[in-house]
Amino acid sequence: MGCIKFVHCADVHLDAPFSSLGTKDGSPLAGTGKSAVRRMDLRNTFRKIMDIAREEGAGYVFISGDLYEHGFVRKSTINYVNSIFKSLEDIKVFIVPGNHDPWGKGSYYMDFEWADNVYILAGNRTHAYFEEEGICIYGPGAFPGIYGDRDFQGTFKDAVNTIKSGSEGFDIKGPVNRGLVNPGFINILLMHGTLDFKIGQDNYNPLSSRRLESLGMDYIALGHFHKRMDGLGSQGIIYNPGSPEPLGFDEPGEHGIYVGSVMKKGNGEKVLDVKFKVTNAKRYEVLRIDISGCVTDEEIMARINDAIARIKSAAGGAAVDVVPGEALLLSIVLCGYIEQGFKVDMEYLLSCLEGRVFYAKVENQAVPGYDFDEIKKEAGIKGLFARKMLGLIEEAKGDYERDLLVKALYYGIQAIEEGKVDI
Amino acid sequence: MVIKRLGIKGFGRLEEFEIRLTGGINVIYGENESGKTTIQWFIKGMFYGLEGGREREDGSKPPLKRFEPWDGSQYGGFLEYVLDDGSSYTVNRDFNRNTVRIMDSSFNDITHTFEVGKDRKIKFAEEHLGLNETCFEKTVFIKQMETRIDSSGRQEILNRLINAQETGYEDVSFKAAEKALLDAIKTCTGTGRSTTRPLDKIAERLGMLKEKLGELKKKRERFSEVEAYIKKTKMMIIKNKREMDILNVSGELIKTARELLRLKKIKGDNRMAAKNIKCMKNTKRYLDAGIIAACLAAIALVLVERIIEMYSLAVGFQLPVAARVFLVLILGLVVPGILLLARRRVINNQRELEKKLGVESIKNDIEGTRAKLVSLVKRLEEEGQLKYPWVFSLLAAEEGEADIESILNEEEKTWMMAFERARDEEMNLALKLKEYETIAASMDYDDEEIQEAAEEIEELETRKKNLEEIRFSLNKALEVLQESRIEMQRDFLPLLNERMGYYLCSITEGRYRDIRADDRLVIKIMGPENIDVVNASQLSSGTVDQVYIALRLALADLITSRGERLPFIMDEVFSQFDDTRTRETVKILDNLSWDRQVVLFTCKKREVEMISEICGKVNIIELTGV
Repeated sequence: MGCIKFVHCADVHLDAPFSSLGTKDGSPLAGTGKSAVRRMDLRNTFRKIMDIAREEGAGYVFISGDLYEHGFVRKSTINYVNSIFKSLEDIKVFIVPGNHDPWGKGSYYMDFEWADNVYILAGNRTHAYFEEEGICIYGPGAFPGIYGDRDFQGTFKDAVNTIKSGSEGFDIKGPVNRGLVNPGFINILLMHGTLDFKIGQDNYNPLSSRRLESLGMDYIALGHFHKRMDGLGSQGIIYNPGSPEPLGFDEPGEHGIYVGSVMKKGNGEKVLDVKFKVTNAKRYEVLRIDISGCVTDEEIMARINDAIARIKSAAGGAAVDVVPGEALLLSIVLCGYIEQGFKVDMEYLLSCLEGRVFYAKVENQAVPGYDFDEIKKEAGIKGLFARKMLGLIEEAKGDYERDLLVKALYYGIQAIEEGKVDI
Repeated sequence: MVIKRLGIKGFGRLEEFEIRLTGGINVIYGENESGKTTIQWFIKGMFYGLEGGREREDGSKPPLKRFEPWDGSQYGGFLEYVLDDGSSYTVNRDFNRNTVRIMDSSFNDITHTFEVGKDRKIKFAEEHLGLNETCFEKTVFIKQMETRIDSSGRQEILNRLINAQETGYEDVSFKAAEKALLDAIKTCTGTGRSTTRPLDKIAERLGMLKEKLGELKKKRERFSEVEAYIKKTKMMIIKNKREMDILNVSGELIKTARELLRLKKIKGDNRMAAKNIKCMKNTKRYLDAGIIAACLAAIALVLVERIIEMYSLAVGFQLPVAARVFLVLILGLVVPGILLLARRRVINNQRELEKKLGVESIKNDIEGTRAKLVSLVKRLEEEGQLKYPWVFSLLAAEEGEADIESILNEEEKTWMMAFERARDEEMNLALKLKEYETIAASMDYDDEEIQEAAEEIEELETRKKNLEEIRFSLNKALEVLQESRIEMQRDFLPLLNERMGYYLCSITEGRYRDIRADDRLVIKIMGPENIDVVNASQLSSGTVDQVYIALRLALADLITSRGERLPFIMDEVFSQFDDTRTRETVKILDNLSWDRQVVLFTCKKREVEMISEICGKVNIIELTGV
């Protein structure tokens, strides 16, 4: 009977650039300093994760790829990471490369001297076998037969050089039956890739849950997608923790890691218990604020404030802010219909938000409430213009083209009616 | 369409006030602030409703609030109108309750028969009159005709003509719209050649940043290359050290082999010497035996003599005494003496020889050296160096052999070269390592420059994309606008000219019949017989007015989708005119009024009198003390 406790994380992306924090309009980004703070957040969150491992008494830490950004990481960061690993002492750390920290020439996984308790499962090292503890951790190179999957429709590009690509005719009996995997041991697989991908999706290192599940693993620690996904596959043993610290507005809400345990009895019975633990220091949210009916900037600001209050108290209206303002990054999109001639003062809105949240950007997508049904019936150039534009809009191929044409319609109508155009 | 009756229950300052209008000319006369504007808004409000909403930022109230009666009583009224086809309708509105009701001539409520638009507006006016609120306002209401007598007045009419033929509205300028779009394109995105517009600035900065990013990336690569070299060099140093260790061992091996060879040679020599020593030992033994024998013989002789003497034995032979003594002496002294000397010499030789040999120690040494050699070879074997077959033959041989010596010499030579080479390499590698480490130290970076560059690049790319999208949209709008203008000129212009010609002819009582205005700002007005090309600057003010009214009439005709003949509601149109011009214009309006309803608002009694005088039937409504 074996029992282990572990921490599973992925996609930390240390030293990554933070482009969504933008510059002040017009001037180059001469240190708004916010992206540097975010990078510091990544480091702190990483440290927090390792602290959690210690506090929870975990014996193993699994890092499923994209720990750092190869094109941007500093040596001092690697040294920092390694020193933290070293301080974990007996806790073993397992890392597999990802698409942002790939194995290969110049990779720190290849050239750097990691602490003794760190195992990098790449290149020739396909797995790590621990006889005494009764556990084996596998990396992406352990089972080359699972790649080159014909299950997928459409095309996919070759996975990166962490794995030996080869369609070796995967046989249904699988590694367990072929004696490659010891069923008496606790077997864990670390992978960085896309599970059961659909056409049109990012298809880095496509993996089939069916095949992964036939490998005889007790837990499959996945990485790559920044959104948390629990218990994937029919057996529910595949977990994707997502990024522990969100990296952009496409990663809103809470982020964290898994703390779990695997218990295996002699008769092969196994109990897998996985809990999610929140670790993010900052939080991104996208707010769509309908400003239809507003005639002043103050009214708009009031609606924005309402929306912010709703996030801060989370569900249920807590008395105390669950999410402090300083931890928030907001992308505010104003939409709806406003009166012609009402020019929203973006500077004012931003100045109201300054100091209350870590970062905010505001975009005005509200449009004047023209009644195009009426306009297109008019005689004269306005009606003619509207009819022609509306015709083009109807024929537009795709939303993107459509949006641009709609904008053209508004520009034109304003030019005709007012003799000026507001961008 | 003719407005028959206005029933104001409560609207602005007016309360319980009714106005009846006729088909021809109506004059509503009142002093300033007496409610003329209110009545105009009422008409519009009855047809199209009043806009509500909140107070604007500039403090102005929306119409719905603006005309709310102060005393909070009824707010609304009714309007009765007759369409060209003779059907008559009444619209009833209550602005407080926000209700509207339309009834036909038989008092049927037909409100629900009309299309309902946004905000639940009943679009009956759009249907009956054939145009929306904006167009109604532009067409029906004629404000003070700002045509002046001077040249700019003529220019004005020209502009209005051109506007009309390009846009369908005399006050909507195609050129202004086009310019607005062009300006927007220029200010935000720039042209291909300018360098100060946002898009160009962005492109420039992007170029710089991308170059910088490339350099930073190269720097990183070089740094990691140097680090890789350092690692490789360190590995080579380790390899070199191992090589040196092995060389040391093999050097030791060669030395030991030489030693063994020497010892074995000695042992060989020893064998020869040993034989000699054995001989010497034997010789010594013989000598010893000889000495003893000689002594014994001497003693025996003496004894025999004694015995003979004692026993006075008769012997046949008797040696003389001297001979006997001589014999005894020789046997007893001389021979032993000689032999002793010889013996001593032999012993000396032997000792010398033995000293030279040190036989015992040699044996031990050889054992020791053999053992050492064997262990050295084993060590070398463990390291994978197996190229010493001659060692085995050395070990096996009993004595030194010359050919092994020559092999050993060769080996030593080779070893010397390898050793020197390895030592040189050791020095070189140490130097190289130091060099690389120095370079690495100078190249090491800990800043976030590369992230900042990448971030700014992405931000600018996004902005660039935005501006390009805006540019696309603006260009598209411009393109379609220009297309529309061409279509207008193709389809609308002939109609406009025809209508204008018709009205001009009617207004000028046949004097002018055709009017065109082209880009070169020439108006051609053609009389019935001849082609008179009249320059705009040559038009008299009276003619300008006629042309303007003809224009308004033509537009009014063309703008409605039902062809309803809309009334003209004119507000203080003669304020800038002198009497003559007023008179002329009134005549025109009189002619007009046979055809369509005209409602004139004025605050000048004089005008009222003049109109009454000139026109046939005039309906005068006085607003007094309201």
